[in-house]
Formats: sequence, C-alpha cells, structure tokens
Amino acid sequence: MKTIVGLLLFVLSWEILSLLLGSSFILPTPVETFKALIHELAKIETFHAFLSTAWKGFLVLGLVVLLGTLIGLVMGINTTIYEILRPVVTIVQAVPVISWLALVMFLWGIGWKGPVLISFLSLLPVSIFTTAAGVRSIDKDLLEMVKVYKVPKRKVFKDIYLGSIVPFVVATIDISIGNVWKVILVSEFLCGDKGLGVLISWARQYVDVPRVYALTIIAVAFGIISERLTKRFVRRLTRKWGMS
Amino acid sequence: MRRLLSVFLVILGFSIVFSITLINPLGPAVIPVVAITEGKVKGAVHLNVEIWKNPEEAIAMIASKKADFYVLPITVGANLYLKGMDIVLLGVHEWNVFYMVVSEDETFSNWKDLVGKEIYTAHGRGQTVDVLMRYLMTEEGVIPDKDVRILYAPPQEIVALFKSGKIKFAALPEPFVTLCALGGKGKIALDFQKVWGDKMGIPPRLPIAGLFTSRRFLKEYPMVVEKVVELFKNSVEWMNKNLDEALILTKKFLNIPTPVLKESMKRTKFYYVDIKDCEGEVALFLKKLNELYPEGMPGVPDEGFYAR
Amino acid sequence: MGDVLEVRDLVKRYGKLLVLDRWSLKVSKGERIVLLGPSGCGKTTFLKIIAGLEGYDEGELYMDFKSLGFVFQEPRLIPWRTVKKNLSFVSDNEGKIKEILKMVRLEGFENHLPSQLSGGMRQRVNLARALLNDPDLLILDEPFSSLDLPVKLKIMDDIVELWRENNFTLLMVTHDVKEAVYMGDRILVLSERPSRIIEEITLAFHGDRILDERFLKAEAQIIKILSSS
Repeated sequence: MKTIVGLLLFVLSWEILSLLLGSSFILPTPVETFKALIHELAKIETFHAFLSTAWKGFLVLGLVVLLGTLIGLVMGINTTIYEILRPVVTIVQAVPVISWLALVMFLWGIGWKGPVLISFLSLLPVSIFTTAAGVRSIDKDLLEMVKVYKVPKRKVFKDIYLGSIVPFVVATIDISIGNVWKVILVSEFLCGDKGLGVLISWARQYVDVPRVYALTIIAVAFGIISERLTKRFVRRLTRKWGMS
Repeated sequence: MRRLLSVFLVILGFSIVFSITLINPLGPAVIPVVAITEGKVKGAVHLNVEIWKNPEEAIAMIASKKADFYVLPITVGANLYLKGMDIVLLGVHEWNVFYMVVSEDETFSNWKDLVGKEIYTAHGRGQTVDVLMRYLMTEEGVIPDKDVRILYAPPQEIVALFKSGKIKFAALPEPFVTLCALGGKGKIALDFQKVWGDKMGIPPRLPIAGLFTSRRFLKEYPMVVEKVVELFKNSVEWMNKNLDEALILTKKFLNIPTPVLKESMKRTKFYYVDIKDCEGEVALFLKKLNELYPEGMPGVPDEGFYAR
Repeated sequence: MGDVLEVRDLVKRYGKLLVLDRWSLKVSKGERIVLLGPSGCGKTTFLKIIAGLEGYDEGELYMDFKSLGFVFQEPRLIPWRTVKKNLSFVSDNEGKIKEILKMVRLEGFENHLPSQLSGGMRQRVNLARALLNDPDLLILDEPFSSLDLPVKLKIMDDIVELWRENNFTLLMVTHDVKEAVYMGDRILVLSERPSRIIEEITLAFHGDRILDERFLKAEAQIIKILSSS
C-alpha cells in the first residue's frame, strides 16, 4: 500500500515539475512518457535491444563475481600480494568510464566487447576490495584455533577461507547487480552496436525526449526486477549452506 | 552635442533592449558567422552569437527563450516543429557536406562492393546520411544490416579508427571526411549530394542546415527578422569572398588545423537561399526522409514550418 | 613420571608493559593445576606461550608433551560447518570422533550447525575438539565463564571424570575461586598485572567437593589471600 502511495507521489511531483519547466523537450509529462513507453514496448526492436543489454549485464556480473572473488581471496590471504596489487586496483577504480572508451574503441570499434569490458573494469575493483577486506577480517579467534591445532594449510583454505568469503560474494553480487545496468547502458550509449543504451543514443539524436525517458523506464524497471530476483536467489543459495 | 548624445543613448538603449541572440553549432558552421562575431559585417541590429555543442544545449536555449534565432540542422528543426515547438525556417545556408571515404586499399564503384563488409557513419540510426545510404543500398539490391554491417560512432572516433586502419568505409560529414583522407590514407568515393540530385532529378545539393526563428518573433518583429537575415546573408557572402581571413578568425573557436579546414571547404558549400526559393526542395527532402525512416522523421512538416 | 612443564623466572612484556613477572612453576604428569587470578593479569598470555602462539622475553621454558588440547574461552567453532566437520577439521579419525562425541554426550548432534546448539553444547564441542588427539596436556582458558551454573557444574564434572579415565595433565586458568577449588589439585594464586605467583595451595582431597566442608574452608582461605594481596 505504502509503495503505491510512494509511486503516486513520485508521478505527481513529476507532473508538477514538468509543468513548471514548461517544455516537453526538457521534461515530458508522465502521460506523454507513458504513451511513448507503450509505443516502445510494442516494437520488436525494443525487445531485441533489451535482450542484448540483458545478456551483457549478466555476463559482466558473472565475470566480476568470479574474478573479483578470486583476486580478492588471494589478496586477502597474502599481505605482500595485497600491497603490490592495491595501487593497481585503486587506479583502475578511479578511471572514469570515458577514459576507457578511447582504449576500447581502438581495440574493437563499435560492438559488444567494448561495453562489456568497460562495465567489467568499472565494477571489478569494488568486488576485489570487498572480498579482500572480508578475508582479512576473518575471525582472528578462528585463525588462532587453527594455529594451536596446527591444521594443514589445505584444510584451512577450504574450510575457513572459502567458507568465510560467502557473505562477501553475496555482498559483491548485491552491489554489482545494482550498478551493472547503469554502466552497461552508458557504455552502450558510447560504443555499443546493440542494446537499450544504443536506442537511447539514437532517440537523443532525433530529439525524441519522451522516447529517451520511456527507454529509461524500461531499463530502470528491469534493473529493479533483476536486483530483487538475484538477491532472492542468492539468499536461498546461502541459506542452503548454513550461512544466514 | 546634446543631440548626438541622445541619439547615441537611444541607439545604445535600443541595442541593449534589442540585443538579439543567435545560436550556432560548433563546427565548420562557425565559419559563415565569424564575420558577425568579429565585426567584419555590421547590420542595423546587434547580433549576439552563442555556440551550442550538442542538440540538447540548443533546445535548452530555445525552450528557455534565451535564443531568438537558431542555426540548426534542417532535420532537427523539422523534428522540433513536428513535436509542437514554435519554430519556422527562414532559409537554408549549408548545402553540401556528406561524402563517403574509402580506405586506400579498398575500392568502391557501387554499393555491391560493400557486401560482407562494414561501413561506419556518424552518431546514430536515422541521421541524414544513414537514411540516404540505406535508401541507395536498397535501390541497388543490397540489404542494409544483412548484406552490409552499418555501425554508428561519434565522428571523431570514426576518424581515429579509419586512420589506424581499423575501418575501411565511412560515410561522414566534412571536415571529418578530409581528416580521414589526409595523407592519402583514404579517398573520397561518393558524393551523397550528387547521387541525391541524380535520383530526384534536382540540383546536386542537400538542405543540411539553416536559419530558424520562432513564428511568434516573426509576427512581432518582422523588420528585425529582415535585418537579421540580411546580416546573416552578408556574413556568409563575406566568408565566401574572404575564406582565408575567415579561417584565421575561426581559429579561436575550432581546433581543426587550418589547412585541413581549408581543404574540407572545397567540398562544403555555404550560401544562403531564402526559403521562398527552396521550399520545394526542403519539402521533398523531408518527405523522402519520412518515407524511408519514419522513426527519425515521424511526419512531414506542413506549410507552417516555412517562413513566408 | 616427569615434568610436563617447567618454567623458570619467565618474563613476558608487551612493548614496555610488563605482563608476566618472573613466573616459576613445575607441572608434573597427571596433575591438575589451576592458575587463579583477576581478569587481565596475564594468565591467558601464559597459556598462549605454552600453546606456541606467543613468545617470551626472559627465563626458561621446558615442555615435554606430545599433543596438546586447548579449550578456549569461547567455543571458536566454524559457523558454517557441522559439529562433525568441526571435529574432523582437527582430526581425521572417524572412530575417535564418534567416541569423543559420546564422551561429551553430543551423540546425535553430528550434523547440527553451531547456530543450532545451545551455548553449553557449543562449549562441549570445544572440549571434544580438544580431546580428539588424545592430548597429554589439556589446557583450559576460563572455559566456563559464559555458562549458566547448572551447565557449568555438569561440564566440570565431565572434565574431572575424563581426567580420571584418561589421566592427562590439566592446566586451567580462571578468576573464579569455586571453579579453581573444584577443578584443581594445586592452585597458583596470581597477583594483578604485572602478575607474579604469590601463593600456592595444594588440595589433598578428591570426591564430591561442592558439599564438602573442606571445599568451603579452602575457598575461604583463598578469598582471604586474595583480599589481602
């Protein structure tokens, strides 16, 4: 109930703002946008673009979780490696999307690889740092117990390190799924050949502002839904493993 | 003495009250207005020129009524009109600008040469040269997207990719065409204006950009509009007569090297044609665009679009 | 017979801070030694030195035992592993694991996760783990501090029973006088930090101590010592 009230409030403020600004070129009214949205959803082109964006997003998510966890794990266990890699990861984290663009354009021109690489590089550092921090924060008491009983390294890795990173993998997925769509859309906008981001860039070319907003709504809706579903799926998986 | 002062004050007051803003795109289209900004031509009105870098900026200036006159691509102006904006076309001044450039190790004699290959064009689906290119391909039995891959990118990126040999075919506006062809790396294989003219049985030119204002302004201040058009026309003529000087003056706006710009001007044609003398051509052009890609041109502007 | 542990003039510092002030003690095989002292006096530090987790600065330390079991103050179980897996983490002997679980009366709970057990049960797993490798020396670091009294009494009884059966050497650390008298043959009373061994009390009686008046007398004696130090 409260969600509906919240949404209505949002639409109402949108209407008011749009009337205040007075130009549908700057902010179209909810009705205009809704009309454009219906128009967009009816097109097969939109559906193809949506699929293109979706598979790229999930690919990036998979790569980020996989490589981020791996690298983060190694960095968390070994302090020397952590100190060596930290500046590199920090720099990668700080580079803005635009700067990757030039590199990516030169490697592959327009296509799917560019958006995937750009999004991957944007999200990987957080995954690495989250996992590394998690590993380093492993219960010192457990590690002490391990030392007292002189448990072999293989067992320690399997039972303690791998087990302890589960909450951090979950955290990585939660953070990444929220951000991946935004980054994918931007990079598609800049150098993609297919996808919702590309459609938005074309809509911009024809100054079709309601279309830009309509496509944005589609992207936002998908983002929220995928986030909810992924979180629920991940929670169920970890509950099976006994991590609450 | 007092009379001189009062005349001066009146003119000053007039020009302050009547300071008119014209917005112009960044790019070679700056050259035809540089005579105004640098004071090489003068008119009865003081014209303040502002540069816009992307369509959103232009629209914001128009929508917020900061701009009185707007230099825009014809397609953009038409789209805005169709979406209900109060805008009217006074005349067209940019006529030739689109060409195909082909890498030195490739040949192009007709569209079939592109089968199995890819061609890059600027910005996005539905741009003028994109629509024309697809039309011309289809006419020759080549299916766009299936037989030929068409890719979109910012023109600067296309130049970079072309020069590094990553792409072989590009359909671009000047001066990007010249930038690609520099140093013999590429050759100009097709003049889109000529092909368009041949197909339509009209002179080989495309209405690319022009001067717009609002119908409201036109109704309220017809004399001012006349004066501005005259000033604008003179500025374009001055450029054509004093190209070298104009290019030097443009240096502070553009960072394209002057010799490149000069070379590109061989293929870029600026001359002002009042709308009453080219309405038919413009209408034909917009009609064809709507026919070929209604997504990009959702309708055909009626006579309200053209200033009378 | 022999000494499981001998310490001479042991000194331990953390930086400038003196923690253990020249400890000297001997622990013979099969003894039950309790180090009784206030919180923070350094008794856990001593255990860590014995377990090889910390070093010391001055003095001599002789240790003669083959295997060590350590019952920590908190259960320190791997939260995402079952009871059985927590035990097999330390020893692969399946038969022994079964036996030990029986000993601590946790049969049937092998596949439970730590979160599914009560505090007392978790501490019993802690104890079971310590006993897995048949330790010569069983170290206990305030193992009952988080437990309710009835649970505590039961576990203390269990440990004493296990000691009777297996004859390991027991070294326990606590701040609770009752626990000390219940569990120890010899009680070494410690001062506050920097701690010294200020008194040694030998209890010569066994049996059900709680109700024994000798227990209460010993308790009173120790309390007197503690309040006068």
